[in-house]
Amino acid sequence: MSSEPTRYRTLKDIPKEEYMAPGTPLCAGCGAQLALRLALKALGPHTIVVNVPGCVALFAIYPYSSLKLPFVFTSFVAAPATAQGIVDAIKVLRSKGVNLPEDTKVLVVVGDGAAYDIGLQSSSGALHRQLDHYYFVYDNEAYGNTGFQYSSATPFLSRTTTSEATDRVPGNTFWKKDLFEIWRAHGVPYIATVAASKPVDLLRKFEKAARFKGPKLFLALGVCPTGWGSDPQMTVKIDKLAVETGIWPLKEAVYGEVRHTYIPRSLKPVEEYLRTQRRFAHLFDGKHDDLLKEYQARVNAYWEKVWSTELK
Amino acid sequence: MIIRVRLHGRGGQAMKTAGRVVGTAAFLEGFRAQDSPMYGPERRGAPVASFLRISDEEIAERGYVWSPDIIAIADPTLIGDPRANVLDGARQSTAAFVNIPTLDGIRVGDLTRLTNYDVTRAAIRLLGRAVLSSGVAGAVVKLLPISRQSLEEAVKIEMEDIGLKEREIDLNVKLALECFEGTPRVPVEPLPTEELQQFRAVELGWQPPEVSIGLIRNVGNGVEKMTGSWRVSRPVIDYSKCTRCGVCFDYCPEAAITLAGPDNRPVIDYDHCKGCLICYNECPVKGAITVEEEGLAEKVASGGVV
Repeated sequence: MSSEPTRYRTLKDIPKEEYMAPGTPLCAGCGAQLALRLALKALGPHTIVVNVPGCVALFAIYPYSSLKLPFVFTSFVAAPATAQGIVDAIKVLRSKGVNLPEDTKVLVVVGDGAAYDIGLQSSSGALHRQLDHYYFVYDNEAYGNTGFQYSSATPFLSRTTTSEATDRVPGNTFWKKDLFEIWRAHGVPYIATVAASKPVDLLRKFEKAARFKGPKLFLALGVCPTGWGSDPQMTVKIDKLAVETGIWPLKEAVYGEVRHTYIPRSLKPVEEYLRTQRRFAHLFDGKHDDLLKEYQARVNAYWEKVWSTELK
Repeated sequence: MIIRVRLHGRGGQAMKTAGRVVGTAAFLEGFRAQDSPMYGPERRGAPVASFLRISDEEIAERGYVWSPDIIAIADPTLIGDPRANVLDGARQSTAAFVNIPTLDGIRVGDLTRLTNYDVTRAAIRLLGRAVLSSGVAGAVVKLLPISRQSLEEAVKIEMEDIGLKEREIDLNVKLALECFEGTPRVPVEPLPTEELQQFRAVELGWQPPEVSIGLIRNVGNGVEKMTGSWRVSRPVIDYSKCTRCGVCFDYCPEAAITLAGPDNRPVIDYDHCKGCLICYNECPVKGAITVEEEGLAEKVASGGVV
């Protein structure tokens, strides 16, 4: 991304302004909250937030709000419709001569449960209508707010409370749904994956997205100490490992054209990442080596393709 | 006669499991038993509760225990925390177990039947960390008409169920029995069911949208919640070593670190820092951020315990 003009070159360029108030009701060491905090810094003060059930919904337990931004809470499937209503209202107000800041934007904030499962149908509708909004998914790879039940974003072999690891079943036996590709099939202007451990990459992607009219979609990894069984102080390290093992690729798609913004020359073994979390602990009893190999092979295959197409 | 128990702790202290252990022990003893955790967001460090009803006849009640006969408090800093509602529905005769080394100077509302044991120290000694489920369960069982044998059996069943290995199960049994033995018994006086406060459904009438809609303005008043009390460990910045690189600010999920003054000096907001220690872990300069254990004494002195 180095060739493009940007306000964000190093960590020193992370804006000091905060749009999230300290004292949120979320867990200590929440990776999703860190990613959102950083994203809001790039989006700025004229952002209207639409939110659905999920961890971040706790930001607004009446009469408190942890955001210094307007916040509308709605039901799982209603977020795109709510965003549509706000976008339309802005248009109407402007047509009546109400002076709204030029960079007024609507941001839908949802977890993976809403994005991958419950709200997929209605968000697909909004993408199809090319609704001009930002859509930010904090992906903690399960229903984290209700006790960590499996979602279609749950990775292969993860233990959750509804995909237990037993003598017969090694945790979740399905591969994570590829939401990035589902979004891409809608022909939207901008899609990106981001990670809180790479703040400059994250900020630049939001900066770049602002150029486009239409849906601007973001998938952020949300390291979840409570659900994943990881040490809260390791959140950023684990997030970084997800990127460096190749499990969480950093990429963007502009009108469908995919480009990776970080291409590791060599991958760290997936084991290094998996070992940091109790949800994968059952894999290291010596009986699951084949599955670990399968996991590694899948990640390798993904990157072989990237290396052959993007590293020329 | 139903005995109603409410366990209070912080997310991560395993009060849900403690409730399960006591429930199972009661069942093994021949009682009817009902245990359930508070439904809601599971947040590490935040006040949580679990509920337990034990009876020799069928239990028709469900849900939250509003009028506890026994309160167990796994974290004494919750006593003065209005969000924890430790004293909700308690009577003067309600028995309270507090996980604290001594009851000297401790008041739990106007409750008179107080008892205690230092479960945290025992857990750290035996298990190596402050997981309190078996210990608090042992203490609560002491106040109930349940035998030591049923407690021991219940700990084994529940610890096996959550996937602990044999050695860890044995240590949990040891912890439960130590806390059972070490907790002084106080009398428990169950409230007759007919004296229970009756709750009626609240009728919500029609309200115009500007009143009834869930619209929250950009106030950011969440800052009034002092989440600093969630902290177990405190990160401390040594300004003589800090290079003002700002990495702690970058990665604080809480926005609890600000860069102040012309030299961008990082300042930790201890009223809100939850003690995740990401700043400590990410700081590139050795010794610039150190970790101090939060002393219970300080929390008591600062009004955390009333």
